Amino acid sequence: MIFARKLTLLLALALFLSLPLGNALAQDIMDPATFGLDASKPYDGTHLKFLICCSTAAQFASAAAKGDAEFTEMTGITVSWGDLPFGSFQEQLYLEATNPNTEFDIVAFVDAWGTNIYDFLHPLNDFVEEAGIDWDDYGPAYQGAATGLSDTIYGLPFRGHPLLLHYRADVLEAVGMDPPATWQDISAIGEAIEAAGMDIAPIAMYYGLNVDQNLFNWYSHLWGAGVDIFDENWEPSFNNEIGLAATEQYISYVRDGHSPEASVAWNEQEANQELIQGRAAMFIGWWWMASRMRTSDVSEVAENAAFAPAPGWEGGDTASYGYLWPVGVLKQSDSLDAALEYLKWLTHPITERRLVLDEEYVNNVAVRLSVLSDPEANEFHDGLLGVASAVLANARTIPLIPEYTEIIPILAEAINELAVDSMADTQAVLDLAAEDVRFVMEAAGYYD
Amino acid sequence: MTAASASRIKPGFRQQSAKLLETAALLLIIAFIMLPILWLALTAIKPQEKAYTTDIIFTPTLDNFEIIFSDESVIINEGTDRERGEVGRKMVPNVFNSVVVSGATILIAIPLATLAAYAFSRYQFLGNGVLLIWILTTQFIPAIVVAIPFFTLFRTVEIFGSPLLGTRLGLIIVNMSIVLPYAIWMIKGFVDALPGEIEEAAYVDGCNDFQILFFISLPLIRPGVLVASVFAFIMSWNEFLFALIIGREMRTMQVALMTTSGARGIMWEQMAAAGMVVMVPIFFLAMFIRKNVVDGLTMGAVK
Amino acid sequence: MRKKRWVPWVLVGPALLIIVLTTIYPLIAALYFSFHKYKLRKPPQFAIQFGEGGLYIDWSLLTLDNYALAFRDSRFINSLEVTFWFTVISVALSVVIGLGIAVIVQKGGRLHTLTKVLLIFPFAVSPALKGYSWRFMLNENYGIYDLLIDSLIVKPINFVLSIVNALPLVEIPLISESIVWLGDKFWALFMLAMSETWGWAPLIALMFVGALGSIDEQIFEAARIDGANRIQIFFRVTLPLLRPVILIVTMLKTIFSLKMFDQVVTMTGGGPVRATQTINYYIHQVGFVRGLDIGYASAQSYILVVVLTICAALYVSLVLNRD
Repeated sequence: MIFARKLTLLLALALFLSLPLGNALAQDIMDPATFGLDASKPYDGTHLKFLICCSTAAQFASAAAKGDAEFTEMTGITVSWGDLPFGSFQEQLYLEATNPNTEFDIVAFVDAWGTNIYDFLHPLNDFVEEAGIDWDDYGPAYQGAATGLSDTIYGLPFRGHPLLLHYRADVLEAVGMDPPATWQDISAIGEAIEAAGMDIAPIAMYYGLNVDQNLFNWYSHLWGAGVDIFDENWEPSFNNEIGLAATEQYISYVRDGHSPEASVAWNEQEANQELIQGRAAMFIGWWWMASRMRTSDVSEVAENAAFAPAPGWEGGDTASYGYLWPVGVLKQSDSLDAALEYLKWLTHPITERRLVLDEEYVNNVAVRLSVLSDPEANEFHDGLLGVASAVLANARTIPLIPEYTEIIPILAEAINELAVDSMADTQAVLDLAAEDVRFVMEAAGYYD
Repeated sequence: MTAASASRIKPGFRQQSAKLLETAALLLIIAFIMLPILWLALTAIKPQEKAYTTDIIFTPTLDNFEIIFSDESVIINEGTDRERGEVGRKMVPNVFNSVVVSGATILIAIPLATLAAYAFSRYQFLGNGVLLIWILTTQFIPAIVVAIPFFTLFRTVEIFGSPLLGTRLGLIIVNMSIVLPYAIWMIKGFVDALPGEIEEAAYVDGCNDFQILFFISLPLIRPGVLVASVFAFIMSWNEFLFALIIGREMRTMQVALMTTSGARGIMWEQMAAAGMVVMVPIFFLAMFIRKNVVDGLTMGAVK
Repeated sequence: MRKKRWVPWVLVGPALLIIVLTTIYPLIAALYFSFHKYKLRKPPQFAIQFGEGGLYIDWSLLTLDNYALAFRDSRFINSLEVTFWFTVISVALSVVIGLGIAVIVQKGGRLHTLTKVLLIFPFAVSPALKGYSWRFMLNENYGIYDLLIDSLIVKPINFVLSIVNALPLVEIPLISESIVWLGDKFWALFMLAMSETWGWAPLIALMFVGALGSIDEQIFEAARIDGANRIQIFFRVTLPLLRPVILIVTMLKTIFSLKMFDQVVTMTGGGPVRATQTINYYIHQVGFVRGLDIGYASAQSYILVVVLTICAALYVSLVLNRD
């Protein structure tokens, strides 16, 4: 808290000193030409509805506020952001986006969910080319997440999260260990912390079913060990020998007692609370946790907050899930051109950079490589963006086929089963899940 | 102590211990019923940092109510080192939706139900017994079966230029399917209990069917109609599945409960405050129709 | 008597029309959908079409696949099992506890009257809120139920067990004091049924209070004179007299349990694993959350309709026989 306030003060001072520069910038961002917007306001008075959740997310709040003040001023287009509850967002998103009469124009979606609505999204390839958007500024993982298995760009990357290890520097120091480079290191650190008799859980995992978050780190284990969900014939392969080893490692944290027993039911938020409240020493989750840890009410946590790339597989790869929310335009929209104008502004590097430098709504969510490597943004976020960009270089995305939305719950339930039932046989559970996955794929005609 | 006096004391002791046991059982029942309600009420007025504890000593606050209704950030713990802003949950429109949907549902359903109930009670007509039973069985249709076709229908059916899906009107229409049958059965019970002599006398005096209905019978069953209205209001107020699938963005309070999650998962103190808004008005209504709830739920099958 | 035959139809007509539209229409439409491949991600193609030659039926678009799929779908079979167990547990608990409460509160006395008044309270708590509040109170870190169960039930039992274990006779394992209620397959389903019981047992008690009140006091008096004690009276007199009401209430509660949906969403989200995915929840997932498969969801819901129709028939015959 104090740290954040000091930082704010410092930045305010810096801003004051650079006032002339700031003014120049302020003019820049109010100039339609900066963003390639049509200065003649052809869409003046158009109202756009943005299908999105979670107005409390700092990035969204920041973008919405700036859009109201600046984008609307430049174009005369007003944009209202939806505020659907995240818990039912997947459902609301589908039902609105597939609705032939929906009133929404723009839509933000989680990559894994997008496949169900691809047919309702306006392809953006031509737009990207015409608007001169630098597609290579998004890393391969985000590019893949925005296009699915095709070359069609269904949405522009807007919100993306690499997985980072967040940890307590003091705890690791006390047991004389470096931050884990591999998943196997985590087990070793867990044993060391327990051997030292420290009153803290080595790691807070999340094996609960909530929004399928228990799959994120499992993917990293699978990919690191060298296997994917499917083989090249769309046969499930996660239950082969490598998959078994990866899954057993992933589940070992709770089975060996390194992660609290209650983590079998936790979601990502509940697990990160353990870290923030000082009850756990490590947590692997979205990068924006870093600032939450630094501003923890528990002083040991705030003072010893540290982060590093998520671990990899010993003797294997380091790969993790690059989780992306692309923003697309619905085919049903009557205001396609106005919506595209908004996308230009919203995903423009200048806007994106300003969002991560926002002092009112502090957040670090950037998706463009140019912003992730921006020195000022990195200084503002203690180098977090740079580390994230290193993680993203090895990030991958999940099988983006429509059927995957039906397969996700099967996989999430299998992981949950292994966590909940400590006696469950990993191979048997994975085999059953594979059978269920085949069932879905077969019904969809993949094996015809 | 003689044997005689001992035997005189013994039944007294047994009676007393039985009474004590009964009192204990009653207190246990009260605790069983009231604990969740009281705990929710307590959580609703807890300061944020106490909500995640089982502490019962704290300084009560109305912050949580301010947060759920506000449409901008609310500063809590002002002046302390825990001062922070909480984003308002903007639930005023949700309350409005709940009130309008439940209110309109009974405004439409109750008059229709009253007329139908009166006919079922007072007239013999072809198939009236079977019809009445059939109306009862419509309550056993799972709500999801009603929701799926109406969902697809309301996506395409437009009224006033916009599809019915995600409108209060759409929700009101679907709510009819649960409210009308109950209301008919309930009001029919009240009409049945009304002696027919007055109506007969009026008929002899030359009143026609409708004059009897509107000027003689209706005023007499007014209390029953009121009870049925309250019952129907509670049913549509507490309805969740239709509100979720058909109401969509036009969220009622039941669905708005889902919006209380944030960075800490579900913000329990906010959920509790929203829960109070959902629950407290219904307490008063439920007390008002206390004696009729059983008849309503069972459609008079248990008497 | 009154003569005009059309009068009742005028009175019943509007209500009947709305009931038919809001219940018969969806029943027919859902049946129709269930014979189609109909996923929201593509515009649907229905068998009945309007072409140049007017109305015609494209038989090739009709399929029984959705029904065939259901019986091979392990998750659907699971949802049937979960629904069955949820219904059994919640009905048994609600009726037994409801009956117990009724017998206790039925007599006069101030505390009795107060309890009778309070019995209506859970009815006012919406199922969605019920689910959230139970989830909150069962939390292993800060839940009041968790605290009470641990300190009033688990700890005393463990205390006794540890004394027994201190004797060099047997070694009984102690009960865990850190059970994650909603993270355990059995307990999650049980607690879901408990939350349902909390809402229903008091109402069922009210139903029984009414029924008990209508039993002639002289019957009890006669039994007492014959020397029966309270337990004997309950089992030999009260219970047989209540039998018809118990049957009706049980059937009614069974139907309500089969229809239960809200609490699964707000309390367990179907988990852990698949342990609390009831059929209504699974249908909702299939139709609206995951596969957007309206055809398959309709077929599944029709299987539920069949089950409920049987229950409804039983219920109606019970009610009619009683009159």
